[in-house]
Formats: sequence, structure tokens, C-alpha cells
Amino acid sequence: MKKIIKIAHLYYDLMNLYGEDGNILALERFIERQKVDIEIHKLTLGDNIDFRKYDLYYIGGGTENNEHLVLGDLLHYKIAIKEAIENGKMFLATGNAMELFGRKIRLRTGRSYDCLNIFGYNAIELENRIVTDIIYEFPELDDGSSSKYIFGFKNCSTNIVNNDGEKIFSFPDNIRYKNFYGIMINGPLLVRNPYFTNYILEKLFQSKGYEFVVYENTIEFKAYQECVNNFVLNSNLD
Amino acid sequence: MIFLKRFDTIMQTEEVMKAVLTIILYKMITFLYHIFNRNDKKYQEKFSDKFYEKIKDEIIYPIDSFCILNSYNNEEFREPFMSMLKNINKKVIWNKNITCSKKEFSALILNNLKFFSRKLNGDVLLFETSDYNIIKDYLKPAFSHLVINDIGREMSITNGNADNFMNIILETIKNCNIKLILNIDNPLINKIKYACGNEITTYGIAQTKYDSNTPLTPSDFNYCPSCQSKLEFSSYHLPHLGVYKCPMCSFDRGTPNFLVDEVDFDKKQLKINNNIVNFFSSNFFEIYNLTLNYILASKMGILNTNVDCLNRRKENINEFIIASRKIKILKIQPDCPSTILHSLLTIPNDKKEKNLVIGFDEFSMKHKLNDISSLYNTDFSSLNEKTDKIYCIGKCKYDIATRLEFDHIDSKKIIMIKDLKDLNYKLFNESKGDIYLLVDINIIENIINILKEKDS
Repeated sequence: MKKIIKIAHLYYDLMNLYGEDGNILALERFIERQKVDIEIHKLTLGDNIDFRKYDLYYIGGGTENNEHLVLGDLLHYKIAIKEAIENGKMFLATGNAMELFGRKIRLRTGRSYDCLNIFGYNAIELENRIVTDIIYEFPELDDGSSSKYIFGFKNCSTNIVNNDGEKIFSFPDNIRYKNFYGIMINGPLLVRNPYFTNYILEKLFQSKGYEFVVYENTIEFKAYQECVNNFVLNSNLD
Repeated sequence: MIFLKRFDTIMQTEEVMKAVLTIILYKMITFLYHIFNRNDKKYQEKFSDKFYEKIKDEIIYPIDSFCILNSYNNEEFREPFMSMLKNINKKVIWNKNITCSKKEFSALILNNLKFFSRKLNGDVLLFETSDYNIIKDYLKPAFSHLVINDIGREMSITNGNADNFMNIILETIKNCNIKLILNIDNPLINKIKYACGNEITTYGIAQTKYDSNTPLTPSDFNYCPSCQSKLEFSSYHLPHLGVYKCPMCSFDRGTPNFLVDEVDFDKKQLKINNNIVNFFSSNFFEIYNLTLNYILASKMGILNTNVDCLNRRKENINEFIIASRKIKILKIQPDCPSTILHSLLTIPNDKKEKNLVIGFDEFSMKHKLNDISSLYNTDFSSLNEKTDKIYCIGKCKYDIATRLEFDHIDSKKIIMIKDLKDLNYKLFNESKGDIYLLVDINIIENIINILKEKDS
């Protein structure tokens, strides 16, 4: 039987501020290596999104204006999204997209927006934006080498608070629930962190009943090691 | 006695007196730093903004003072502008780097202030920036014109994102009489036309034969900033710049006051409001810059004497020959994907052999981990057709090679240069044809020196 992974890239044109397209390219590349067919559907406002049809739903980060536009559209699918998450569909939300799955986004003006209310956290707008490089350590990837690092770039206007859910790393700006992964890191996270990409895909392949072969000698891993050597091990990061 | 009378007139108000004393104090402190052989520029910038804040409203700025908002560092604009002004013996006070902070801006102004008259020691102030703090805090007293040449989605480092930047601009210009010059090919910039009552001059490029009728890369600028419907673009010059209208509301690119038409990259000629102007690039950014020069010359009333100056611009100086091979430097700003994309577009799509040396040590000067987002807001797939070999160098060579492979560039074309000592051998012995350099500012000098060793 033909093996196939179907991916929905949600709001690809609105939530793609810092090269989040790279995450889709990474998924495509990594899945192709497994000799599994891949279908990528780019969906946006006005499309009828089926939350039962796809194996992985990806949504990236966007400007606050675009985020509110997307929120308005996503709220139409609130029940379908909740069911999909409960049924073990894989979701990956990066950058500020994670906010959309919480309870509220509260602005400094006092105004607040109701979000999907799937998770209990809130996003509170800050006086000053957080614009920074970031390194997390992901214990599940720690094999004694440098593979435990997850690094990236963060540019957001909110803090996540009241996040009592299970987390990937010990900071409040991420969440893991069943096969839902939310991380407030912008940009091509899956390109820069190939160990994490393998981790996510292994879970996805498990959920489909497919075998997953780990390849760690590809160009992305060389880039990862180069970055660790140049900018993590040999730098004086705060 | 004459001096005292003049001093008395100058010190007519308490504010003016304070301003003059502040300028004197600033100059004394910087002089002391200078004589003690300290890096006076570095130290000046530690306190310059505090001095400037105290006296900014008392300074007499030139009548022509332009704040230019850009997403990329813009020598193509600055060089002809300066030569135009030099041509008529006008002195320009200007900054070199658009990432200039408030402190650097303050130091620039204070260093060029005359002691008693509080006037700037120049005829024109030209300040390029990509930082909203300058707009927010210093636009009002310092500038007669705000020129918005480009706002890109990548202006994230200091500004949050383009929407945040736009909100700051609208808030700042609302209560100020500053004149605006706007590139309305960018829908976000065009939003200002609908949102404020300031005096506005607009410019843009009409549809050209080089345009694409489909998006060059996914861009959220394709949505109407007024009603959020998807804009209908009849053509794209660049991913976020083109000719468009909103199908659902009155938001429209419309006809700008200065319309660039009949762009011909082969003849290197175009028309601005039906006047023929020559240029020496194959790059839409260059056309916007040229147009901007044309508009500013027109605003200053010096266009008639200077249009020749624009026409006479030197051919691209970033070209040289080594070992009988033509080397061409492509100008880019690594954290600005539009500049990378456009540099790639300027590599001709012909059958001659061509090679690319690509490498960045730093994508952004402000981030230690080198955010690589800009690589993924750019499309590299044209390199399959345009180049024979691609040499990846620098600290991020594998990031670049990864990006190229993701765009399905033939892996046989991609050559990793792990040690720069090997570059010359591989480049000159294993390839033929022109060599294009797409490298960041930190390593360009080193690379050129290495290439020149081939001749020596």
C-alpha cells in the first residue's frame, strides 16, 4: 500500500513572517528521505479547511494584524480543531501562532480577544517587544552530544502566562499536548534544529504506523553542528 | 563690543541660552576625549542623545532635511544625491549606515552644530534609517520631509514587524506638518495616503516587461491594509512592490505623482513623467533610488541643472578583472531578503558560464545566533539555470547549502569551501566564466584580497 503524509500549511500567506516556509520545506525534504509520498496543501482565508483530512497541520508566525485576521477565521473551526487534537492529529504552531490555541490575547489597551480556548494559557501584550536569539535545551534529545540544543529567533509582543500544560522545555512559551506542539520561536525552526524535526516526524510516522529511519549525516545536521560550534559553544551568550 | 552685542542678541531667551551652553559643554567634553586620545566617537555616543534631547527644539535645521526610511542600506540612492549636491556646492550632512541608533543620530547633529547660531553646518540634512525610534522621537523637530522608499516584512530586528512600524509612523505624523514622499508601489506605505492629511507626493513604477504576474515569494503584503481583502496585483516588480488594487474597497495603487514608465534594462533607460533618464543597473531598487533622487532634486528646485548628473552616473564600479575573469560584486544586506532576491535577479539568464561565491558570516549584526529567516524569504531556484558552480563560504556555509538544496539546486553545482585558502584554486582552476560575489560586508574585503592573490 502506498505510504503518504498529507500536510496542511495553514494561512501560508498571512502567517509566514520570518521565513516560516522553511519549516514546510524541511518537512518535505525529511519525509522524502523516508521514501514516503508527501502532499502539501497551502490553505488560507476563504478556503474550507478540513481538520480530519490531513496528518499534520502547520501554522507559523505573523504580524499582530494578520494574527487577528487568522483568529477570526480559525474560530469557525473551533470544535473541529479541538476534536482533531484530541484524536491525535499532529499540529505544529510556531511563533505567535501558539497564542491562538490559548484562552485570550490581552492587549495593553485593556482590550482582549477570545482565542480557541483549547489550552488554558493567556497571551499578555508587553510594553516592549521581545526580540532575541534563544537557546533551549530539550532533555529528550540529550544523547550527550550537542543535539539537545534547540535554537532560534524570537520576536513577539506577548508573554505566555498561566501555562499549566505539559511542556517541551521548561519555559512557559511552549506546550505539548498529545501530538500538538506549540513553540514561540519564529522562522525556520525545523531547518535549524534537525534533531527536533526527526523527533516530531518520528511521532508522526508512529501515528500513521509507518517505520521511521533516522538519518543524521545530511546537510542540515552539518549546518546545525556548524551553528553550534560558531555561535553556541564558542560564544558568550547571556 | 560687537561680539558682546551679538552675544546679547543670540541669548535672547532662556531656552536659547541653555541650548548654546549645552552645545558648548558638549563640544568641550568631546574635545577633552579627543585630546586624551580616546575613541571620541564611541564616547560621544554614550551621552549624545541626552544632550540632543535637551536642545533638539532649539536647533535650526536646514530647510531641506530629509528622513529616508528604507529596508536596506542604500548607497545607490546616496551616491548620486551627494554628487548632485556637490555639483552645486551644497554641503550635505548625512549618515552612512541605516542601522544608525538614536545616539548616533544625536552625535551626527551635535557634531555638525555651529556654536552660537544653533544652525547645522550644512545646506541639506539627509538621514537614512530603518529604526522606528528615530521616527518616533526625532522626526518632528529635525525634518522637513519624511521619505518612505520601502518598508519590508524583514524589518523585524529593531521594529517588531512592518505593521508595528507603520502604526508608529501614523501616530507620529498625525500631529505634525511634515511633508511626505511615498513609494506607493508598496501597499503598506500606500495606506498612509488614505490615513493622514499631510502634504503628500507619491511615486511608483508602471507595469514593466520584467514584472511577474504571480507572487515572487509568499508575502503578507498582498492583503489590503484597509479592509484585509486579498489585493489584486496586475504585476509584481518585487515580492511586496507592484501595481495592485483592492477588489472590495477603494484602496488602490492609483497613478503616482512621479510615474516611472518604459523601463528598459537592455537600453538602460526609463521615463519619469515622460522625461528620459538613463541608469546603469538591472535592478528595481536602483530605479526607485533614481526616482527618489529625481523627486528630491525637483523638490529642491535643482532638477533642471542636475538631471544630467543623474544621467551621467558611473557604470557599476563593483566590477573588476582577475586572471582574465570578470568579478562582479552583488550588493546585498543579508537580513533583507528582497536585496538577496534582487541581486539574484540581476545575474543574467544567458548561456555564458557563470559562478557564484556566496557566504555570510553574519546575517544580522544584532543577533549572536544569526537568525537565518531571510534565507527562507528568498527564492534561490533561479540559480539552477543561471550558474554553473556555487561556492559556499563563511561561517554559515552549511546553512546556505541547505537552503540551496531545499530549492532543488543540483548538488553537483554546490561546492563547500571549508578553508578560504582553497577558494582561489577551486574557483580559478575548476570553473570558467564570470564570478559573482554575494557575500556580507564583514567578509567582502577579505574575499577580494584572497581573489587578488591570484594575480600577484
